[in-house]
Amino acid sequence: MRWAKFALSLIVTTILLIGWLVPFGPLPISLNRLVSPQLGFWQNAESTGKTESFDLSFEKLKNPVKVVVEDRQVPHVFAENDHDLYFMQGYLTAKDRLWEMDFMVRATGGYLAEILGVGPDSAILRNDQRMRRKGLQYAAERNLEVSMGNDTTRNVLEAFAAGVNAYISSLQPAEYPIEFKLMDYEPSEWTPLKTYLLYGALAEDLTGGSNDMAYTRELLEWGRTTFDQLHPEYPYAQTPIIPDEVRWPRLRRLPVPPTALPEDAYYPDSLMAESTADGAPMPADEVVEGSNNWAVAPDRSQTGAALLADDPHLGLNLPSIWHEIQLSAPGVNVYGVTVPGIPGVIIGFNDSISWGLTNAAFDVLDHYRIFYTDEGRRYYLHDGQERPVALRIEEIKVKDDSTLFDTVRYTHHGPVMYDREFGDYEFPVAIRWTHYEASDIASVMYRINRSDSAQQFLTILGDFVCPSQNFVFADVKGQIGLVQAGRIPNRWPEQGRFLLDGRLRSHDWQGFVPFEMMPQVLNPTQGYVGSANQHPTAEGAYPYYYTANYEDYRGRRLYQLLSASDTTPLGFDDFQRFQLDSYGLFAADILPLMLSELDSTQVVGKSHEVYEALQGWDYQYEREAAGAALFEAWWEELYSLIWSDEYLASGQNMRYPDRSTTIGILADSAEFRFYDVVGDTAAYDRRRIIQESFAQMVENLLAQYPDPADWQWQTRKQTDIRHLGRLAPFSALDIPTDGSRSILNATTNRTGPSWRMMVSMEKPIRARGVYPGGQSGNPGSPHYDEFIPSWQNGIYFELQFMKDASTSISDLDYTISAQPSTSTTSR
Amino acid sequence: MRFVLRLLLIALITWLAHMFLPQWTVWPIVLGAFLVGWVLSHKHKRSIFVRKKPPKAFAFWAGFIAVAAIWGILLWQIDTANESIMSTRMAALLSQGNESLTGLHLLLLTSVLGGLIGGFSAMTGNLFGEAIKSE
Repeated sequence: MRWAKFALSLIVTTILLIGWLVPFGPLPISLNRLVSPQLGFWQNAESTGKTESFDLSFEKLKNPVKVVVEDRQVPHVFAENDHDLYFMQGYLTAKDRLWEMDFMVRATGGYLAEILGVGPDSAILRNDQRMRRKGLQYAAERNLEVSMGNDTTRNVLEAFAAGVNAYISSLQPAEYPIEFKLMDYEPSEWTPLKTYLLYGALAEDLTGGSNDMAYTRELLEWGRTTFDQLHPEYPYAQTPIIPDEVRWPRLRRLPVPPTALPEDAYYPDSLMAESTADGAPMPADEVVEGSNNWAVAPDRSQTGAALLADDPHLGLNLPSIWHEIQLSAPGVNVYGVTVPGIPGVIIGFNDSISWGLTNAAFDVLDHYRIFYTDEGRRYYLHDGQERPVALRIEEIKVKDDSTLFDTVRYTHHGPVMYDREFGDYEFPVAIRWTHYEASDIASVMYRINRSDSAQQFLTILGDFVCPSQNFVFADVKGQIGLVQAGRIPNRWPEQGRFLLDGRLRSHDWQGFVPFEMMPQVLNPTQGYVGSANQHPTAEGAYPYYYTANYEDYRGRRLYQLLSASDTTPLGFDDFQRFQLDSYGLFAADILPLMLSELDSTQVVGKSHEVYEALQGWDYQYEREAAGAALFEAWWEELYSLIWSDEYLASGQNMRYPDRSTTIGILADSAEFRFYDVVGDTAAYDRRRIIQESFAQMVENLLAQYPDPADWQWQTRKQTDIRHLGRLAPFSALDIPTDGSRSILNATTNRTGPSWRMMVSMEKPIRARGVYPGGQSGNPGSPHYDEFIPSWQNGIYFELQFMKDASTSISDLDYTISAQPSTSTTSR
Repeated sequence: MRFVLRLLLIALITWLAHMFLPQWTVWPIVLGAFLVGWVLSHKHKRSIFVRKKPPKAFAFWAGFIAVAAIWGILLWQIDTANESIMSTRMAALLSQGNESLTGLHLLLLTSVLGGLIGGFSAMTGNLFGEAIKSE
């Protein structure tokens, strides 16, 4: 009897323990690892108070390093040599962002299925395969090889990796970032290759898109004349980046081969593009990214020194894409932000020069149709010859499933990304991309961080290859400049706008535009430079052919604001006003016409209220603005009435015409083929579609928001800053924000200014900045998302640029003193 | 008296385990509570005249209260220092957005789970002791 009671109690205890130690139900991991006070999430709950200063010792350090950390958790690192500097940066970055670093590398290199499995509809595995086939891993290996041949760069990359690894090896499993626990995997060793995969993430994000296939489809569907109307190379109005005063030599362009345009014969109907199914936890799945940067010369500046501003608009995620840091060692003292995992500073300033980036947007990725000559697909036709492909086998590990071995064929163009094994194309397509041009980007960043004048800065950028960027810079001598750095192919007109023929030598890339011929300007007489992803040059002005998706509204608006400084010099307050500018130039361009086409019989009752609100609107996309909400709703109806029927009827993946093209057509043409409604024989003209879209908008509006108090821009647009692993409670969702796309304050639902910075090159240098996130990548830290309210409301932090380790700073949190040790690393 | 002694001993083990053997989580508690339950178990005399019913359930409650209280205190310290940032996010994550689950619930739930493990371990030890000693 007593033994029976014992046995019963033992059984209950055992069941309890099994329930505690084995995952069940929807739990990803056991309760023991999820909630126990010792291993579970409680160990990731950081104290919100001040941190005590502490000492560290590392076998790999050569000299002592001092780190000063301010309340915002920005570390200021003071080392006695480069090695120690980057070692410490690696350590501190990992301390803040280890999981993000690991996840970004996996997402870019194609290693997500290894931890997450195939995903819903195999989306995760498919994404891995896509990244491998696109050659991200291949390019990282190629580029790294160049860097490793350069002693300086190798030292930086290896020291950084050693720092990350020193942090990883100091961790107990209980201390792993929460995402490692929830996704049930462990941090793996950092390598220089991983840093290169992150450079690849930038290349992919900024230059990895392409219209080649969609444009090819459209050219064949609509014919040449209509295609040119729908996708003109230049917008109806523009202010190019490079001022008029810059003159280019007349050069003969490459001749257009007779076979330039794709033929129906090799473009069967059934295609279409990469699946849009997106279940993968990938950052930046929308393409509304752009950026602003500008600099003004001392005679236009209130401080008497050159001023610079930059705000790159990217997909907004948590942990943030940027990590803020100051790095100081003999020969360098630099402050700014970098992508966690990339050593040095990508956007920032040193004691001589400041710089900011926007995407130059050039099309540097082309598609080639490949013609194999044998069944086994080992040879392909080029210039009348059979050329062998090189095989590269990608091993894609899959959690809880068998490893996928994917054979990718490499031609002299690049990898055959799409073929019968991947993608919906009926024929093989290879891609060529400047990202495959082996180059030492880490060396460029290293030298930029140390550059001491505008002239030197320009020289260094000659070695920059991909992703092509508008670098704006300003130095302490008062010089300002802008250069489009990054290699672009020397193209014959329209080469690479459509699918190219992989058989023809004339379709190959024929060298690159020489760096000295890249659009650039140093100290222009107008006294300012700036870019916002618009066309670099006016139509017909530049000798080389280039193509891209440009966005010219922000550029026009920026130049309006900058040129207003003819009479009043500019300061930080003005720069803040520019970065937060919510003026919708496109609305100003088209809304008066739209309103004038309305019939007075149409605007009665509630419609009249809508009409009044629109008419009284000042084109500001402020969060409470009724006009912004109403205009955007109306525009959506109108845009869809013009294009959707035809585009949907054609049943193909195409690229809808730009907003700017649509506005240009509306302004110019009272009648236009696309105004018609497919399946309706009635005649539609501009007036009719404007009236119908207005009526439709009002009807929808009143059905959804009968109360005019709800007619606010923030009802229609809020910003979601999502966790990279798509965990909603680790995200900041539904944030009311001003601005919209094609507006200087380009804050959309998922993208926006990812780092707002302004620098005055006076002595000492003053700077302000803010990004929508926080230095810590730990959702259990008060520093995870602490900058978001400031960012949301256009508030900046003073950046504390320390002269040396003894400079006193306000808001000091703690210091770290790191010493070399002979024993193993300890903490 | 025995109850208080059991409770204090198991509480001490729970606290020491957390401080010095965190990677073993509940194992020192399971083993410790079992031993305490065993060592402090009553011997049953088979007697016609004396029928003393041993307070078995008390072994359970000693283990339960000891572990639940120590875990509760530890978690309360962590959670307070963290201003409930993490427990709030985790509650939202685990309940998939259902706002009725809060960080405090998670704190209590974790403590109760620990308490159950401690309680049953102590009771099993106690019953084991009684069974052996009464052979």
